[in-house]
Amino acid sequence: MESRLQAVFSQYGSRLNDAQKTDLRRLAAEGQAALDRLRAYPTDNSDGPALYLRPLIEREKKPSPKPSRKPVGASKKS
Amino acid sequence: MPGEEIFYLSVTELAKRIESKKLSPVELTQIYLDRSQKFGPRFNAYATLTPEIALEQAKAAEKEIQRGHYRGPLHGIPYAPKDLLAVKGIPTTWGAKPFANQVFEYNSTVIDHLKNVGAVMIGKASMIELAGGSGYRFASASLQGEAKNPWDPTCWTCGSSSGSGAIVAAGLAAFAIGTETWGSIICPSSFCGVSGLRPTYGRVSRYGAMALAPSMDKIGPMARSAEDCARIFAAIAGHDPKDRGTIAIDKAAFTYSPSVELRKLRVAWLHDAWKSFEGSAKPVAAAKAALKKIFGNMKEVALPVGPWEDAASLIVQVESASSFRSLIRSGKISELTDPLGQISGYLNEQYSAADYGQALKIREILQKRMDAIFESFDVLVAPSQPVPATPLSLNLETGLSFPDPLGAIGNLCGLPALSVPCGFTEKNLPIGLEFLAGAGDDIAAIQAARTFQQHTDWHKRHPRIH
Repeated sequence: MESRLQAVFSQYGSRLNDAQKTDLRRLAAEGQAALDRLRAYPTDNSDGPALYLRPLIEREKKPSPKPSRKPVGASKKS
Repeated sequence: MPGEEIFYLSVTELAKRIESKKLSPVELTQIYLDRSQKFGPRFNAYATLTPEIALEQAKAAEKEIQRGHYRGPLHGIPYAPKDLLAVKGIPTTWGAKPFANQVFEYNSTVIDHLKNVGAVMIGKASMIELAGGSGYRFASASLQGEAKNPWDPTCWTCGSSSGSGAIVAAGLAAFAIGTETWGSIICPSSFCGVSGLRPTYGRVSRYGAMALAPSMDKIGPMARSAEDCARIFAAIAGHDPKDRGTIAIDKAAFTYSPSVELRKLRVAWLHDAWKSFEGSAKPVAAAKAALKKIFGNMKEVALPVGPWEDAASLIVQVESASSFRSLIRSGKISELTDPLGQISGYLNEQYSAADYGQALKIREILQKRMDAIFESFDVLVAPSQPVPATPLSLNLETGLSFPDPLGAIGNLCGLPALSVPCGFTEKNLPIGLEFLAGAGDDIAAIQAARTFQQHTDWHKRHPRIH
Protein backbone atom coordinates (compact mmCIF):
# COMPACT_ATOMS: atom_id res chain seq x y z
CA MET A 1 0.00 0.00 0.00
CA GLU A 2 2.74 2.41 1.03
CA SER A 3 4.72 1.78 -2.13
CA ARG A 4 1.68 2.52 -4.29
CA LEU A 5 1.08 5.74 -2.42
CA GLN A 6 4.70 6.78 -2.67
CA ALA A 7 4.64 6.09 -6.39
CA VAL A 8 1.62 8.38 -6.73
CA PHE A 9 3.14 11.10 -4.58
CA SER A 10 6.50 11.01 -6.33
CA GLN A 11 4.90 11.15 -9.77
CA TYR A 12 1.95 13.45 -9.13
CA GLY A 13 2.54 14.94 -5.68
CA SER A 14 2.95 18.48 -6.98
CA ARG A 15 -0.60 18.38 -8.32
CA LEU A 16 -2.16 17.24 -5.07
CA ASN A 17 -3.14 19.28 -2.04
CA ASP A 18 -3.00 17.95 1.50
CA ALA A 19 -6.68 17.01 1.58
CA GLN A 20 -6.31 15.04 -1.63
CA LYS A 21 -3.24 13.25 -0.30
CA THR A 22 -5.17 12.30 2.84
CA ASP A 23 -8.03 11.07 0.68
CA LEU A 24 -5.64 8.99 -1.42
CA ARG A 25 -4.15 7.48 1.72
CA ARG A 26 -7.64 6.46 2.88
CA LEU A 27 -8.49 5.03 -0.55
CA ALA A 28 -5.25 3.07 -0.63
CA ALA A 29 -5.95 1.61 2.82
CA GLU A 30 -9.47 0.61 1.81
CA GLY A 31 -8.16 -0.88 -1.42
CA GLN A 32 -5.56 -2.88 0.45
CA ALA A 33 -8.20 -4.96 2.22
CA ALA A 34 -9.73 -5.87 -1.14
CA LEU A 35 -6.30 -6.73 -2.53
CA ASP A 36 -5.56 -8.95 0.45
CA ARG A 37 -8.77 -10.91 -0.10
CA LEU A 38 -8.02 -11.22 -3.79
CA ARG A 39 -4.48 -12.46 -3.18
CA ALA A 40 -5.65 -14.94 -0.55
CA TYR A 41 -8.04 -16.65 -2.94
CA PRO A 42 -6.50 -19.98 -3.98
CA THR A 43 -5.73 -20.24 -7.68
CA ASP A 44 -3.63 -22.84 -9.44
CA ASN A 45 -1.08 -22.64 -12.17
CA SER A 46 -3.63 -24.41 -14.35
CA ASP A 47 -6.34 -21.79 -13.81
CA GLY A 48 -6.52 -19.85 -17.03
CA PRO A 49 -6.96 -16.12 -16.82
CA ALA A 50 -9.93 -14.68 -18.68
CA LEU A 51 -7.53 -12.46 -20.60
CA TYR A 52 -10.28 -10.95 -22.68
CA LEU A 53 -13.74 -11.77 -21.50
CA ARG A 54 -15.42 -14.32 -23.65
CA PRO A 55 -18.70 -15.51 -22.24
CA LEU A 56 -18.77 -19.28 -21.97
CA ILE A 57 -20.99 -19.64 -25.02
CA GLU A 58 -17.91 -18.77 -27.04
CA ARG A 59 -15.56 -21.39 -25.64
CA GLU A 60 -16.12 -24.01 -28.28
CA LYS A 61 -15.59 -21.64 -31.15
CA LYS A 62 -12.57 -19.62 -31.96
CA PRO A 63 -13.54 -17.04 -34.56
CA SER A 64 -10.63 -15.56 -36.40
CA PRO A 65 -10.22 -12.14 -34.86
CA LYS A 66 -10.12 -9.32 -37.33
CA PRO A 67 -7.75 -6.51 -36.53
CA SER A 68 -9.44 -3.59 -34.86
CA ARG A 69 -9.44 -0.46 -36.91
CA LYS A 70 -8.37 2.70 -35.28
CA PRO A 71 -11.37 5.02 -35.46
CA VAL A 72 -11.12 8.33 -37.22
CA GLY A 73 -10.67 10.95 -34.56
CA ALA A 74 -9.37 8.41 -32.07
CA SER A 75 -6.65 10.80 -31.09
CA LYS A 76 -9.33 12.77 -29.29
CA LYS A 77 -9.96 9.81 -27.02
CA SER A 78 -8.01 9.36 -23.86
CA MET B 1 -49.87 19.93 -25.43
CA PRO B 2 -51.38 16.51 -26.23
CA GLY B 3 -52.56 14.16 -23.49
CA GLU B 4 -49.76 12.90 -21.29
CA GLU B 5 -50.48 9.25 -22.01
CA ILE B 6 -48.98 9.34 -25.50
CA PHE B 7 -45.55 10.06 -24.01
CA TYR B 8 -45.72 6.82 -22.07
CA LEU B 9 -46.87 4.53 -24.83
CA SER B 10 -44.56 1.60 -25.45
CA VAL B 11 -42.49 1.32 -28.60
CA THR B 12 -44.68 -1.62 -29.50
CA GLU B 13 -47.86 0.50 -29.32
CA LEU B 14 -46.32 3.52 -31.04
CA ALA B 15 -45.07 1.26 -33.83
CA LYS B 16 -48.56 -0.11 -34.45
CA ARG B 17 -49.93 3.41 -34.83
CA ILE B 18 -47.07 4.54 -37.03
CA GLU B 19 -47.26 1.49 -39.29
CA SER B 20 -51.00 1.93 -39.73
CA LYS B 21 -50.37 5.64 -40.46
CA LYS B 22 -52.55 6.72 -37.54
CA LEU B 23 -49.58 8.48 -35.97
CA SER B 24 -47.17 10.75 -37.79
CA PRO B 25 -43.46 10.32 -36.91
CA VAL B 26 -42.99 14.06 -37.47
CA GLU B 27 -45.79 14.97 -35.07
CA LEU B 28 -44.56 12.41 -32.52
CA THR B 29 -41.04 13.76 -32.75
CA GLN B 30 -42.20 17.35 -32.44
CA ILE B 31 -44.24 16.70 -29.30
CA TYR B 32 -41.39 14.75 -27.72
CA LEU B 33 -39.03 17.60 -28.63
CA ASP B 34 -41.39 20.17 -27.09
CA ARG B 35 -41.68 18.09 -23.93
CA SER B 36 -37.92 17.53 -23.78
CA GLN B 37 -37.26 21.26 -24.17
CA LYS B 38 -39.77 22.02 -21.44
CA PHE B 39 -38.92 19.33 -18.90
CA GLY B 40 -35.43 18.10 -19.84
CA PRO B 41 -33.64 20.90 -17.96
CA ARG B 42 -35.72 20.24 -14.85
CA PHE B 43 -34.16 16.79 -14.55
CA ASN B 44 -30.77 17.59 -16.17
CA ALA B 45 -31.74 14.78 -18.48
CA TYR B 46 -29.97 15.79 -21.67
CA ALA B 47 -26.42 16.63 -22.63
CA THR B 48 -27.76 18.12 -25.83
CA LEU B 49 -30.96 18.18 -27.82
CA THR B 50 -30.71 17.60 -31.57
CA PRO B 51 -33.96 18.99 -33.02
CA GLU B 52 -32.56 19.43 -36.53
CA ILE B 53 -31.36 15.82 -36.77
CA ALA B 54 -34.59 14.61 -35.16
CA LEU B 55 -36.91 16.42 -37.55
CA GLU B 56 -34.83 15.48 -40.58
CA GLN B 57 -34.92 11.79 -39.57
CA ALA B 58 -38.62 11.98 -38.69
CA LYS B 59 -39.49 13.55 -42.04
CA ALA B 60 -37.50 10.90 -43.88
CA ALA B 61 -39.28 8.17 -41.88
CA GLU B 62 -42.67 9.66 -42.59
CA LYS B 63 -41.97 9.92 -46.30
CA GLU B 64 -40.83 6.30 -46.47
CA ILE B 65 -43.80 5.00 -44.52
CA GLN B 66 -46.20 6.98 -46.68
CA ARG B 67 -44.60 5.30 -49.70
CA GLY B 68 -45.17 1.91 -48.12
CA HIS B 69 -41.60 1.25 -47.05
CA TYR B 70 -41.96 0.42 -43.35
CA ARG B 71 -38.65 -0.62 -41.83
CA GLY B 72 -39.95 -2.16 -38.61
CA PRO B 73 -40.90 -1.38 -35.04
CA LEU B 74 -38.38 1.41 -34.46
CA HIS B 75 -39.18 3.29 -37.65
CA GLY B 76 -40.09 6.86 -36.72
CA ILE B 77 -39.61 6.27 -32.98
CA PRO B 78 -37.77 9.03 -31.04
CA TYR B 79 -34.94 7.97 -28.73
CA ALA B 80 -31.93 9.35 -26.86
CA PRO B 81 -28.50 7.68 -26.69
CA LYS B 82 -26.17 8.19 -23.73
CA ASP B 83 -23.64 10.91 -24.43
CA LEU B 84 -20.72 8.52 -24.66
CA LEU B 85 -21.80 7.24 -28.09
CA ALA B 86 -20.14 9.10 -30.93
CA VAL B 87 -22.52 10.89 -33.26
CA LYS B 88 -20.88 12.46 -36.27
CA GLY B 89 -20.56 16.21 -36.07
CA ILE B 90 -22.17 16.89 -32.70
CA PRO B 91 -20.52 17.07 -29.27
CA THR B 92 -19.92 13.82 -27.41
CA THR B 93 -18.90 14.97 -23.96
CA TRP B 94 -18.66 11.70 -22.03
CA GLY B 95 -20.30 13.79 -19.29
CA ALA B 96 -16.93 15.30 -18.48
CA LYS B 97 -15.57 18.84 -18.66
CA PRO B 98 -12.25 17.87 -20.30
CA PHE B 99 -14.29 16.51 -23.24
CA ALA B 100 -16.92 19.24 -23.36
CA ASN B 101 -15.96 20.20 -26.91
CA GLN B 102 -15.16 16.75 -28.24
CA VAL B 103 -16.66 16.06 -31.67
CA PHE B 104 -16.19 12.84 -33.63
CA GLU B 105 -16.30 12.54 -37.37
CA TYR B 106 -18.05 9.19 -37.37
CA ASN B 107 -21.02 7.44 -35.83
CA SER B 108 -20.78 4.68 -33.31
CA THR B 109 -22.10 1.36 -34.59
CA VAL B 110 -25.17 1.50 -32.33
CA ILE B 111 -26.12 4.91 -33.73
CA ASP B 112 -25.75 3.58 -37.28
CA HIS B 113 -27.85 0.51 -36.48
CA LEU B 114 -30.62 2.69 -35.06
CA LYS B 115 -30.40 5.02 -38.04
CA ASN B 116 -30.72 2.06 -40.38
CA VAL B 117 -33.96 0.91 -38.77
CA GLY B 118 -35.37 4.43 -38.98
CA ALA B 119 -35.24 5.45 -35.31
CA VAL B 120 -35.19 9.21 -34.66
CA MET B 121 -32.44 10.65 -32.46
CA ILE B 122 -33.97 13.43 -30.40
CA GLY B 123 -30.92 14.30 -28.28
CA LYS B 124 -28.11 12.83 -26.23
CA ALA B 125 -28.69 11.74 -22.66
CA SER B 126 -26.66 13.19 -19.81
CA MET B 127 -24.43 10.87 -17.82
CA ILE B 128 -21.99 10.61 -14.95
CA GLU B 129 -18.58 11.89 -16.01
CA LEU B 130 -16.57 9.18 -17.76
CA ALA B 131 -19.40 6.82 -16.77
CA GLY B 132 -17.86 6.77 -13.32
CA GLY B 133 -14.57 5.48 -14.70
CA SER B 134 -12.56 7.55 -12.28
CA GLY B 135 -14.92 6.98 -9.38
CA TYR B 136 -17.40 9.48 -7.96
CA ARG B 137 -18.70 10.51 -4.60
CA PHE B 138 -21.76 12.60 -5.49
CA ALA B 139 -24.68 12.53 -7.93
CA SER B 140 -23.43 15.90 -9.18
CA ALA B 141 -20.44 14.20 -10.87
CA SER B 142 -21.52 15.25 -14.34
CA LEU B 143 -20.90 18.03 -16.79
CA GLN B 144 -24.67 18.30 -17.04
CA GLY B 145 -25.27 18.44 -13.28
CA GLU B 146 -27.05 15.99 -11.02
CA ALA B 147 -29.74 13.98 -12.82
CA LYS B 148 -33.00 14.34 -10.91
CA ASN B 149 -35.44 11.49 -10.60
CA PRO B 150 -38.81 12.20 -12.26
CA TRP B 151 -40.53 10.28 -9.46
CA ASP B 152 -39.04 12.65 -6.88
CA PRO B 153 -36.69 15.40 -8.06
CA THR B 154 -35.00 15.51 -4.65
CA CYS B 155 -33.72 12.02 -5.43
CA TRP B 156 -31.12 10.76 -7.87
CA THR B 157 -31.67 8.62 -10.96
CA CYS B 158 -28.59 6.50 -10.19
CA GLY B 159 -25.72 6.33 -12.65
CA SER B 160 -23.99 6.28 -14.86
CA SER B 161 -26.81 6.15 -17.44
CA SER B 162 -28.48 8.83 -15.37
CA GLY B 163 -29.99 10.92 -18.16
CA SER B 164 -31.19 7.80 -19.98
CA GLY B 165 -33.18 6.82 -16.87
CA ALA B 166 -34.64 10.31 -16.41
CA ILE B 167 -35.62 10.59 -20.10
CA VAL B 168 -37.55 7.33 -20.18
CA ALA B 169 -39.18 7.86 -16.78
CA ALA B 170 -40.26 11.42 -17.60
CA GLY B 171 -41.64 10.43 -21.01
CA LEU B 172 -39.20 12.66 -22.91
CA ALA B 173 -38.46 9.98 -25.52
CA ALA B 174 -39.82 6.52 -26.25
CA PHE B 175 -36.57 4.84 -25.29
CA ALA B 176 -32.95 5.52 -24.45
CA ILE B 177 -29.64 3.77 -24.82
CA GLY B 178 -27.52 3.20 -21.73
CA THR B 179 -24.25 1.48 -21.00
CA GLU B 180 -23.09 -0.67 -18.12
CA THR B 181 -19.69 -1.64 -16.85
CA TRP B 182 -21.03 -2.39 -13.39
CA GLY B 183 -24.58 -1.34 -12.52
CA SER B 184 -25.07 1.56 -14.91
CA ILE B 185 -28.15 0.19 -16.72
CA ILE B 186 -29.63 -1.92 -13.94
CA CYS B 187 -29.45 0.71 -11.17
CA PRO B 188 -30.95 3.67 -13.12
CA SER B 189 -33.66 1.37 -14.47
CA SER B 190 -34.49 0.36 -10.91
CA PHE B 191 -34.36 3.87 -9.42
CA CYS B 192 -36.39 5.36 -12.30
CA GLY B 193 -39.00 2.60 -12.63
CA VAL B 194 -38.18 1.70 -16.24
CA SER B 195 -37.20 -1.51 -17.98
CA GLY B 196 -33.50 -1.85 -18.84
CA LEU B 197 -31.59 -4.63 -20.55
CA ARG B 198 -27.90 -5.27 -19.98
CA PRO B 199 -27.12 -7.67 -22.83
CA THR B 200 -24.59 -10.47 -22.80
CA TYR B 201 -21.10 -9.02 -23.13
CA GLY B 202 -20.12 -8.88 -26.77
CA ARG B 203 -23.57 -8.90 -28.35
CA VAL B 204 -23.66 -5.14 -28.95
CA SER B 205 -20.73 -3.39 -30.59
CA ARG B 206 -18.95 -0.69 -28.56
CA TYR B 207 -17.32 0.84 -31.62
CA GLY B 208 -17.57 4.59 -31.18
CA ALA B 209 -18.47 4.30 -27.50
CA MET B 210 -16.20 5.62 -24.77
CA ALA B 211 -14.11 2.80 -23.36
CA LEU B 212 -14.06 2.49 -19.58
CA ALA B 213 -13.16 -1.12 -18.78
CA PRO B 214 -13.13 -2.78 -22.19
CA SER B 215 -13.49 -6.30 -20.83
CA MET B 216 -16.69 -5.31 -19.02
CA ASP B 217 -18.32 -2.48 -21.02
CA LYS B 218 -21.76 -3.22 -22.48
CA ILE B 219 -24.47 -1.22 -24.26
CA GLY B 220 -28.20 -1.80 -23.87
CA PRO B 221 -31.69 -0.33 -24.14
CA MET B 222 -33.77 1.37 -21.47
CA ALA B 223 -37.47 1.51 -22.26
CA ARG B 224 -41.03 0.96 -21.03
CA SER B 225 -41.18 -2.82 -21.08
CA ALA B 226 -39.17 -5.98 -21.52
CA GLU B 227 -40.76 -6.39 -24.92
CA ASP B 228 -39.60 -2.93 -25.98
CA CYS B 229 -36.10 -3.79 -24.78
CA ALA B 230 -36.19 -6.94 -26.92
CA ARG B 231 -37.18 -4.99 -30.03
CA ILE B 232 -34.45 -2.39 -29.49
CA PHE B 233 -31.88 -5.06 -28.65
CA ALA B 234 -32.75 -6.83 -31.91
CA ALA B 235 -31.86 -3.63 -33.77
CA ILE B 236 -28.51 -2.99 -32.08
CA ALA B 237 -27.15 -6.52 -31.52
CA GLY B 238 -24.70 -8.15 -33.87
CA HIS B 239 -21.08 -8.94 -34.58
CA ASP B 240 -18.94 -5.97 -35.58
CA PRO B 241 -15.41 -6.37 -36.92
CA LYS B 242 -14.72 -2.88 -35.58
CA ASP B 243 -15.18 -4.09 -31.99
CA ARG B 244 -12.98 -7.10 -31.28
CA GLY B 245 -15.02 -7.73 -28.15
CA THR B 246 -18.12 -8.68 -30.12
CA ILE B 247 -18.88 -12.36 -30.32
CA ALA B 248 -19.33 -14.36 -33.51
CA ILE B 249 -22.05 -13.53 -36.01
CA ASP B 250 -24.27 -16.50 -35.18
CA LYS B 251 -24.06 -15.82 -31.43
CA ALA B 252 -24.25 -12.04 -31.43
CA ALA B 253 -27.31 -11.49 -33.60
CA PHE B 254 -30.69 -11.35 -31.90
CA THR B 255 -34.11 -11.65 -33.44
CA TYR B 256 -37.33 -11.12 -31.60
CA SER B 257 -40.91 -11.95 -32.32
CA PRO B 258 -43.60 -11.78 -29.62
CA SER B 259 -45.19 -14.86 -31.16
CA VAL B 260 -42.03 -16.94 -30.78
CA GLU B 261 -42.74 -20.24 -29.07
CA LEU B 262 -41.98 -19.78 -25.38
CA ARG B 263 -39.97 -22.37 -23.53
CA LYS B 264 -40.72 -23.45 -20.00
CA LEU B 265 -38.30 -21.52 -17.87
CA ARG B 266 -36.66 -22.84 -14.73
CA VAL B 267 -36.69 -19.76 -12.51
CA ALA B 268 -34.96 -19.46 -9.14
CA TRP B 269 -34.97 -16.75 -6.50
CA LEU B 270 -31.57 -15.53 -5.31
CA HIS B 271 -31.99 -15.27 -1.57
CA ASP B 272 -28.61 -13.77 -0.77
CA ALA B 273 -28.18 -11.09 -3.42
CA TRP B 274 -28.59 -8.38 -0.80
CA LYS B 275 -28.18 -8.32 2.96
CA SER B 276 -31.23 -6.15 3.73
CA PHE B 277 -33.85 -3.98 2.10
CA GLU B 278 -34.17 -0.42 3.21
CA GLY B 279 -37.74 0.76 2.69
CA SER B 280 -38.41 -1.79 -0.01
CA ALA B 281 -39.00 -5.02 1.92
CA LYS B 282 -42.79 -4.99 1.35
CA PRO B 283 -42.77 -4.53 -2.43
CA VAL B 284 -39.94 -7.06 -2.71
CA ALA B 285 -41.94 -9.64 -0.74
CA ALA B 286 -45.01 -8.96 -2.90
CA ALA B 287 -42.96 -9.32 -6.09
CA LYS B 288 -41.53 -12.61 -4.87
CA ALA B 289 -45.04 -13.90 -4.12
CA ALA B 290 -46.17 -12.84 -7.60
CA LEU B 291 -43.21 -14.65 -9.16
CA LYS B 292 -44.09 -17.83 -7.28
CA LYS B 293 -47.60 -17.70 -8.72
CA ILE B 294 -46.39 -16.96 -12.23
CA PHE B 295 -43.53 -19.45 -12.44
CA GLY B 296 -44.89 -22.19 -10.20
CA ASN B 297 -42.23 -24.22 -8.48
CA MET B 298 -39.68 -21.42 -7.96
CA LYS B 299 -36.68 -22.68 -6.01
CA GLU B 300 -34.26 -20.60 -3.98
CA VAL B 301 -30.56 -20.55 -4.71
CA ALA B 302 -27.47 -18.81 -3.34
CA LEU B 303 -24.76 -17.01 -5.23
CA PRO B 304 -21.31 -18.60 -5.12
CA VAL B 305 -19.08 -17.15 -2.43
CA GLY B 306 -15.75 -15.58 -3.30
CA PRO B 307 -13.94 -12.28 -3.79
CA TRP B 308 -15.93 -11.43 -6.88
CA GLU B 309 -16.43 -7.77 -6.01
CA ASP B 310 -12.74 -7.38 -5.27
CA ALA B 311 -11.86 -8.93 -8.63
CA ALA B 312 -14.43 -6.82 -10.48
CA SER B 313 -13.23 -3.64 -8.77
CA LEU B 314 -9.62 -4.32 -9.59
CA ILE B 315 -10.37 -5.07 -13.23
CA VAL B 316 -12.41 -1.88 -13.58
CA GLN B 317 -9.75 0.21 -11.83
CA VAL B 318 -6.85 -1.16 -13.87
CA GLU B 319 -8.65 -1.03 -17.21
CA SER B 320 -10.02 2.46 -16.54
CA ALA B 321 -6.51 3.66 -15.70
CA SER B 322 -5.50 2.39 -19.13
CA SER B 323 -8.56 3.88 -20.86
CA PHE B 324 -8.00 7.32 -19.31
CA ARG B 325 -4.20 7.21 -19.24
CA SER B 326 -3.63 10.47 -21.05
CA LEU B 327 -6.23 12.23 -18.92
CA ILE B 328 -4.49 11.05 -15.76
CA ARG B 329 -0.95 11.74 -16.92
CA SER B 330 -1.75 15.15 -18.36
CA GLY B 331 -3.35 16.23 -15.09
CA LYS B 332 -6.60 17.07 -16.88
CA ILE B 333 -8.29 14.59 -14.59
CA SER B 334 -8.34 17.42 -12.06
CA GLU B 335 -10.91 19.15 -14.29
CA LEU B 336 -13.49 16.51 -13.43
CA THR B 337 -16.32 17.71 -11.20
CA ASP B 338 -16.17 15.10 -8.50
CA PRO B 339 -13.53 15.19 -5.74
CA LEU B 340 -13.09 11.43 -5.91
CA GLY B 341 -12.96 11.42 -9.70
CA GLN B 342 -10.16 14.00 -9.60
CA ILE B 343 -7.76 11.71 -7.77
CA SER B 344 -8.73 8.04 -8.04
CA GLY B 345 -7.05 7.58 -11.40
CA TYR B 346 -3.65 8.20 -9.84
CA LEU B 347 -4.09 5.22 -7.54
CA ASN B 348 -5.70 3.08 -10.23
CA GLU B 349 -2.45 3.28 -12.21
CA GLN B 350 -0.49 1.63 -9.42
CA TYR B 351 -1.98 -1.86 -9.26
CA SER B 352 0.36 -4.65 -10.26
CA ALA B 353 0.01 -6.86 -13.29
CA ALA B 354 0.19 -9.89 -10.98
CA ASP B 355 -2.88 -8.71 -9.09
CA TYR B 356 -4.72 -8.02 -12.33
CA GLY B 357 -3.78 -11.53 -13.50
CA GLN B 358 -5.12 -12.99 -10.27
CA ALA B 359 -8.41 -11.11 -10.80
CA LEU B 360 -8.66 -12.56 -14.30
CA LYS B 361 -8.09 -16.08 -12.99
CA ILE B 362 -10.81 -15.54 -10.41
CA ARG B 363 -13.10 -14.32 -13.17
CA GLU B 364 -12.51 -17.58 -15.07
CA ILE B 365 -13.29 -19.64 -11.98
CA LEU B 366 -16.46 -17.65 -11.37
CA GLN B 367 -17.61 -18.06 -14.96
CA LYS B 368 -17.47 -21.83 -14.56
CA ARG B 369 -19.33 -21.68 -11.24
CA MET B 370 -22.10 -19.58 -12.75
CA ASP B 371 -22.26 -21.81 -15.78
CA ALA B 372 -22.88 -24.75 -13.43
CA ILE B 373 -25.78 -22.88 -11.78
CA PHE B 374 -27.29 -22.19 -15.21
CA GLU B 375 -27.23 -25.93 -15.89
CA SER B 376 -30.06 -26.18 -13.34
CA PHE B 377 -31.84 -22.88 -13.90
CA ASP B 378 -32.55 -20.61 -16.84
CA VAL B 379 -33.19 -17.41 -14.92
CA LEU B 380 -32.21 -16.15 -11.47
CA VAL B 381 -34.29 -13.37 -9.94
CA ALA B 382 -33.51 -10.85 -7.22
CA PRO B 383 -34.31 -7.23 -6.42
CA SER B 384 -32.27 -5.01 -8.75
CA GLN B 385 -31.13 -2.87 -5.81
CA PRO B 386 -31.62 -3.12 -2.04
CA VAL B 387 -32.72 0.51 -1.82
CA PRO B 388 -34.99 2.88 -3.73
CA ALA B 389 -33.71 6.13 -5.24
CA THR B 390 -31.38 7.95 -2.88
CA PRO B 391 -31.25 11.68 -2.02
CA LEU B 392 -29.33 13.88 -4.45
CA SER B 393 -26.93 15.07 -1.76
CA LEU B 394 -25.99 11.59 -0.50
CA ASN B 395 -22.29 10.77 -0.19
CA LEU B 396 -22.30 7.69 -2.42
CA GLU B 397 -19.01 6.39 -1.03
CA THR B 398 -20.61 5.89 2.36
CA GLY B 399 -24.34 5.91 1.64
CA LEU B 400 -24.47 3.58 -1.38
CA SER B 401 -21.61 1.29 -0.49
CA PHE B 402 -23.41 -1.95 0.33
CA PRO B 403 -22.00 -5.26 -0.95
CA ASP B 404 -23.09 -5.99 -4.53
CA PRO B 405 -22.13 -9.57 -5.37
CA LEU B 406 -24.97 -9.80 -7.92
CA GLY B 407 -23.67 -6.84 -9.91
CA ALA B 408 -20.08 -8.01 -9.62
CA ILE B 409 -20.91 -11.54 -10.77
CA GLY B 410 -23.21 -10.50 -13.59
CA ASN B 411 -20.71 -8.05 -14.99
CA LEU B 412 -17.57 -10.12 -14.43
CA CYS B 413 -19.18 -12.99 -16.34
CA GLY B 414 -20.84 -10.81 -18.97
CA LEU B 415 -24.28 -12.20 -18.13
CA PRO B 416 -27.48 -10.66 -19.49
CA ALA B 417 -29.88 -9.06 -17.02
CA LEU B 418 -33.13 -7.20 -17.32
CA SER B 419 -34.47 -4.90 -14.62
CA VAL B 420 -38.19 -4.16 -14.55
CA PRO B 421 -40.33 -2.25 -12.05
CA CYS B 422 -41.98 -4.48 -9.44
CA GLY B 423 -43.58 -2.13 -6.94
CA PHE B 424 -43.25 1.12 -5.02
CA THR B 425 -42.17 2.20 -1.59
CA GLU B 426 -44.44 4.11 0.78
CA LYS B 427 -42.83 7.28 -0.58
CA ASN B 428 -43.89 6.28 -4.10
CA LEU B 429 -40.39 5.46 -5.31
CA PRO B 430 -40.07 2.55 -7.75
CA ILE B 431 -38.39 -0.76 -6.93
CA GLY B 432 -36.83 -2.98 -9.58
CA LEU B 433 -36.59 -6.71 -10.10
CA GLU B 434 -33.59 -8.17 -11.92
CA PHE B 435 -33.85 -11.23 -14.17
CA LEU B 436 -30.39 -12.72 -14.73
CA ALA B 437 -29.68 -15.39 -17.35
CA GLY B 438 -26.75 -17.41 -18.65
CA ALA B 439 -24.31 -15.94 -21.15
CA GLY B 440 -25.94 -15.70 -24.55
CA ASP B 441 -29.37 -16.58 -23.17
CA ASP B 442 -30.68 -13.00 -23.26
CA ILE B 443 -33.99 -14.33 -24.52
CA ALA B 444 -34.53 -16.19 -21.22
CA ALA B 445 -34.17 -12.98 -19.19
CA ILE B 446 -36.43 -11.17 -21.67
CA GLN B 447 -39.04 -13.92 -21.66
CA ALA B 448 -39.13 -14.11 -17.86
CA ALA B 449 -39.38 -10.34 -17.44
CA ARG B 450 -42.01 -10.10 -20.17
CA THR B 451 -44.05 -12.85 -18.51
CA PHE B 452 -43.82 -10.96 -15.20
CA GLN B 453 -45.05 -7.81 -16.95
CA GLN B 454 -47.95 -9.69 -18.53
CA HIS B 455 -49.15 -10.43 -14.99
CA THR B 456 -48.40 -7.04 -13.41
CA ASP B 457 -48.81 -3.40 -14.36
CA TRP B 458 -45.96 -1.71 -12.50
CA HIS B 459 -44.28 -0.87 -15.79
CA LYS B 460 -47.33 1.05 -16.94
CA ARG B 461 -47.15 3.52 -14.06
CA HIS B 462 -45.40 6.80 -14.56
CA PRO B 463 -44.72 9.96 -12.61
CA ARG B 464 -46.94 12.97 -13.09
CA ILE B 465 -44.91 15.70 -14.73
CA HIS B 466 -46.43 19.20 -14.81
